[in-house]
Amino acid sequence: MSRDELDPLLQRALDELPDELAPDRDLWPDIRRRLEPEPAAQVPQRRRSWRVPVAIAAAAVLGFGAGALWDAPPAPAPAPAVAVAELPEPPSWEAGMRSAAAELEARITDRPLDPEAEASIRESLRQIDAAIEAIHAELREDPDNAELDAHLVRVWEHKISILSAAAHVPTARG
Amino acid sequence: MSQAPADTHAVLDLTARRAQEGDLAAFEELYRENVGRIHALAVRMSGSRARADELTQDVFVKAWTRLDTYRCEARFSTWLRSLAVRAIIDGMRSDKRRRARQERAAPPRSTPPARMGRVDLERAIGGLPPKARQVFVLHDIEGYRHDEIGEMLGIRPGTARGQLHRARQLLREALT
Repeated sequence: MSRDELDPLLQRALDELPDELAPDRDLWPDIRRRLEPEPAAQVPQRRRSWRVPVAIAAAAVLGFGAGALWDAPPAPAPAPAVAVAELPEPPSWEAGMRSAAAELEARITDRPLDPEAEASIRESLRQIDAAIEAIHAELREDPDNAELDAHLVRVWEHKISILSAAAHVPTARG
Repeated sequence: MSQAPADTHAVLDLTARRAQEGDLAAFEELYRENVGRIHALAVRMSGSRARADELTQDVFVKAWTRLDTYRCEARFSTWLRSLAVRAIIDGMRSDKRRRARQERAAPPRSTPPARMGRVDLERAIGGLPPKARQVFVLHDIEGYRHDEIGEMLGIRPGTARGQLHRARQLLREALT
């Protein structure tokens, strides 16, 4: 560093600059919230068996292929045409989605389902949850990426649609 | 093994080890010890205290996720500062894209103060054009070389030199 090139006036002022500038408020609570995982209670994933007719489960899986769920999140890019204001604020809308998912899961918990269909739907939801986590990880790196936000919305909507289908289908025999 | 008091950096490096094992309380200690320095960097690079709070949070969140890359041969504060510089620059690039999207007018910069002083230089730095401010902070405050600054900001070293010259000139005018 060529400090000796500095004007003496500027050099003196720089020497007096403090090494630290504390924030006006304690940032740790917000940081901790971002570091700690979401409470698992709202999204029970290991529940008693869910069973839906095979056709519903197959349609759910085919409607959103596993490959699409694992597509790499879009690279950070210039803003899309959709205005930022049209995108929901992540914390409140996603909390609403989690709440809706939990409610639907509670409804279908005791519904007798075909084991094959149950396994299929369970796998779909596992992949969706993994995709949600992956998108969150990307958003932590690039929090202003509107395409990632939109992708997250689509994935949540698909999860809700699968759960809705399972919750409203007539129960299977036996 | 001796438990005699060690210097601050040695203690912090042991705390970093604990944090690497997932100890969030240890990471909080690291936060409290380093937040002032990181926040100062964020304020000076961004020119905004409000934005600096967000950038500071981003730095520590990123540090937590990248703790496995910290090698205890170097001081934790040195590792953290390097991570912070890059995280803040990335954050400011996102700001630029967001500003272009929202077409929000930049707040008017403060007028240069009439007298020299520590607070006045802080304000004067905040009033610099963004690129000149970043180069000045990285070179004259943080001690990076022009080639390092060029790599971080995506500009040529010669351009960094030009921006530094401009920043110093503007600051001199502000302080006199």
